[in-house]
Amino acid sequence: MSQRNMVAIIGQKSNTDIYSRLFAQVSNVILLFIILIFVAPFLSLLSSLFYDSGTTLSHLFDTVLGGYLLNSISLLIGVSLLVLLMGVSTAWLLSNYKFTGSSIFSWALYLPIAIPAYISAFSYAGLLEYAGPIQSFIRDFWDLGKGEYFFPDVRSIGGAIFILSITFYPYVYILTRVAFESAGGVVNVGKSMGFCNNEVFCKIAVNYAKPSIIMGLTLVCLEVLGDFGAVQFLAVDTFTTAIYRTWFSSNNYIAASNLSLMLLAIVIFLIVIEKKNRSKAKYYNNTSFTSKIVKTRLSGWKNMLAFNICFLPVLLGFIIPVSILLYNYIKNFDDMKTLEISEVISNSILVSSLAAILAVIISCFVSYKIFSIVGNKKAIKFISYVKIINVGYAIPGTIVAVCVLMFYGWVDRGINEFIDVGLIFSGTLFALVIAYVFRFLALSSGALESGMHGITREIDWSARIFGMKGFMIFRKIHYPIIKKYVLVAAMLVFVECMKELPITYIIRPFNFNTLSIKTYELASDEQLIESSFPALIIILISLFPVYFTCKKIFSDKE
Amino acid sequence: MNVNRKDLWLFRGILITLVVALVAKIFFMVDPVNAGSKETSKETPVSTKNIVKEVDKRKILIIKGGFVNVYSSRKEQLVSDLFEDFTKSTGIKVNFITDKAGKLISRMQAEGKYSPADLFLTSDVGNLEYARSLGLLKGFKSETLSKKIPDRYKSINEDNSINWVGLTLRARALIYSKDRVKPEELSTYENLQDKKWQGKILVRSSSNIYNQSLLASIIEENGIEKADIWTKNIVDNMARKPQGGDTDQIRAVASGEGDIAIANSYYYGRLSASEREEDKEIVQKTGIYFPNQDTKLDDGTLSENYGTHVNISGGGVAASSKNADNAIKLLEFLASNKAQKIYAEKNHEFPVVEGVKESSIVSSWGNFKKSKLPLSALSKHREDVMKTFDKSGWR
Repeated sequence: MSQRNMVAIIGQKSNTDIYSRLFAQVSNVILLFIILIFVAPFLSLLSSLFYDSGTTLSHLFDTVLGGYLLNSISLLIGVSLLVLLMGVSTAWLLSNYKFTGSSIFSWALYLPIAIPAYISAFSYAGLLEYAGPIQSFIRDFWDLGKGEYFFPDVRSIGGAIFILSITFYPYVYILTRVAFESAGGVVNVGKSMGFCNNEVFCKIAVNYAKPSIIMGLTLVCLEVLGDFGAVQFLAVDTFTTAIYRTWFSSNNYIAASNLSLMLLAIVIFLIVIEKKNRSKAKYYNNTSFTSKIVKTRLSGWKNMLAFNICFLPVLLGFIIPVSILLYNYIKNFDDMKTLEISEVISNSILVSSLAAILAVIISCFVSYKIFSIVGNKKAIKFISYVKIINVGYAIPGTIVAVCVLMFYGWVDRGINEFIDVGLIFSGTLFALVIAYVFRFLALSSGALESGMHGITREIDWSARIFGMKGFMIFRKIHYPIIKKYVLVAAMLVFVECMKELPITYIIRPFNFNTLSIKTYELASDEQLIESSFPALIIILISLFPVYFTCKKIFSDKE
Repeated sequence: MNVNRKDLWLFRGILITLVVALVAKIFFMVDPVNAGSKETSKETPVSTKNIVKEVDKRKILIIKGGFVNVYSSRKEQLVSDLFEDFTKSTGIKVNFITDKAGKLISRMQAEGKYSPADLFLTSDVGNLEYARSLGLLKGFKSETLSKKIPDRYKSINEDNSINWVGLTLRARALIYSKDRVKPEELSTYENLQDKKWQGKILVRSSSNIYNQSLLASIIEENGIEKADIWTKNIVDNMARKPQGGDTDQIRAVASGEGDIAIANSYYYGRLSASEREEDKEIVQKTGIYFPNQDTKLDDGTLSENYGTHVNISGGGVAASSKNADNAIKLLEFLASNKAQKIYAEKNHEFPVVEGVKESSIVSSWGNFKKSKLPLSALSKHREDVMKTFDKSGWR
């Protein structure tokens, strides 16, 4: 580039500055507005601090809360270890080697995400419980009675760790895998420098993918903390149980809000740790983005081993639960024909896609905003607190729902004092979608941010040198880089909303049913067998985006 | 990284169409919900023109009697047929949502006086009383209901207006294994504390309101100290930690995991009515027992007992209701002999209206003494109940 061009660009600077400043101002306002929409409902939780919660809290501390907390922590640790083991190992194998079935595993490993955790829990409990087929067989075959043989109890902490791990590991798998794939450059450099595969893995790839791994792990942890359906079914009491019991059994809204706030504090703590970790570990991939890892073909026992490592999670997380559902469905086919399901399906797809689109747009905006702030340290610090809007993911759905209802109900009542319009926010699809987005924003912004970390400042600078600015840079440079992640983000939210239960249940408008509600109504009415039909449809519909996205992001085509 | 341009445009096209379609649909979806509160909150008569337009839009049968909005914690498959019958005979359309009672109550609270709810249907007196105590129900007058429903199954104000009425009855019964337990060994809820039942008793979590109301009635009958001991002893006698629903407890009796299950009567009724082989097997292996009956002593005198704990499912008119007349009509319909019969046949509950026949399965269990306790008396123990459960370790 000649001196003259440089001068010309600098000359234009003052002009572009006004626009970019204006843009920054406007986008700041939008950002504030977004935060307000999503965070305001939680003010109702905060307000609970100023009321007296009676003796319920101290009673809880004296009796059950310690045990609940211990359960939550054991769940967190156990699930974290297992998902790391399953997610990272499979991601590494698939991005570096070719072996029997590797092209199928590439997307099949992600399938368990399509199964709601509570449905996995239903299926496994039915299979493994005392009255289930396996234990019945053992008793009949060896003629044993209760307590005369050892069989692990599925309704226990161990069982819950197992079931949550096989349902949630795909979060770690997919984010890690995407990171490994884009690490092609550094990995190849490592290999060419004579590191063996193990060294490349331990020293380079894992470090490079660390932000994505930690992000995946954080998502899993939040999911574990927020889960209620599965753990309740597995008879494991967690911190969430305390909130539910206090709110809906002791009818103490204030104490329940206080407990929710405590949970929030834990979550914010987790997020801060994640953030700290990420700022420490900033690794840039300065090599070309298009360079792919050269995949080695495995043979012999290594091939078998790799196959088994990848097959096990798919078997446990997808094949077994789905087979159980299918078996129930086929066996009771005649009873199921009467279920009318078409409107329910379209409802589910409608709200899920709406929420997915909105979540991606918002998180795109927010992550981009965080990303594009350069220089001013205070601004960076401030903006990173914007991530508070991600906490919805760890709050149990019901609490999110009640907060959203209370806040928008309050807004509605206020509006109605002036204009007679009825309830326009609460109890409509508006509130439903807002609640969805709030709950699952962490997923889409997590996916997007782990994509943005591939964008270096240097890329921006060079783009600016070529005269691009603002939105142009986003469209022409950033978007192609993060496109994969946008897809992942949209899919994560879509599938999650398909499965979502408590929020839909409480916020929905009249006569509005979704698949997950159908499933749960049947299941909770103790008609587990009938519930297999809508459950299968949830899984079937979620499979399309899962398959499509995985194909798209992991395709070996150049 | 190279994207086919055609693909991209196709993708965008689909996306844009989708968004437009969704936004369009959302407006249609939002409308009917507000229609209720919008039109009637002005306290003007409902304009039929609007309704017809509304209905045309949603392609629903044209209706003449207006509508009623129901918040129901009774499952859709239990109530939807009855609602259809109601619409057929009165022309009043029923809009409804279902959820757990606690959450519906939270929703009604949040919506306040603008809530579209007209009628609140739920199971268990605990939920009805809680809604009443929050001021979410309004008193209403209905001669039919006053006459038909016994006083202990409804809540009446001083001016004789009704807060809520029971619509069906269920008993918290004992399901025992025919192989391992003789019915003579069973007698009362209190008897379950006996050491001989150690490792034999099956019951669900204390988060469930059926157990909460049972404990409330035990507190009412025996006092808090004895109830405290009762809870602890039951926990000691449990066959496993509480898990699953009532049907799961009955299954566990059949499979031999325990000997006695505490469960609501209609769950046993449903299993008895089931056509499935495995359900038939369960019913064959088990029997139902109604505890706390009067017993004849050896010397011929009668030893009185308070009777099996019974609870209701019922409903009340929402305080915010703008279609209260329709809501009362629906309640009266649900208390009609015809609806009571359907309830009884479908869910194997006891009809609350006297003279309506039970389902054949339920009547095969024979008559038994039901607790005479006025149900509205139970709610005052709510806080004690939860604390007692927590202290005992009954999860």
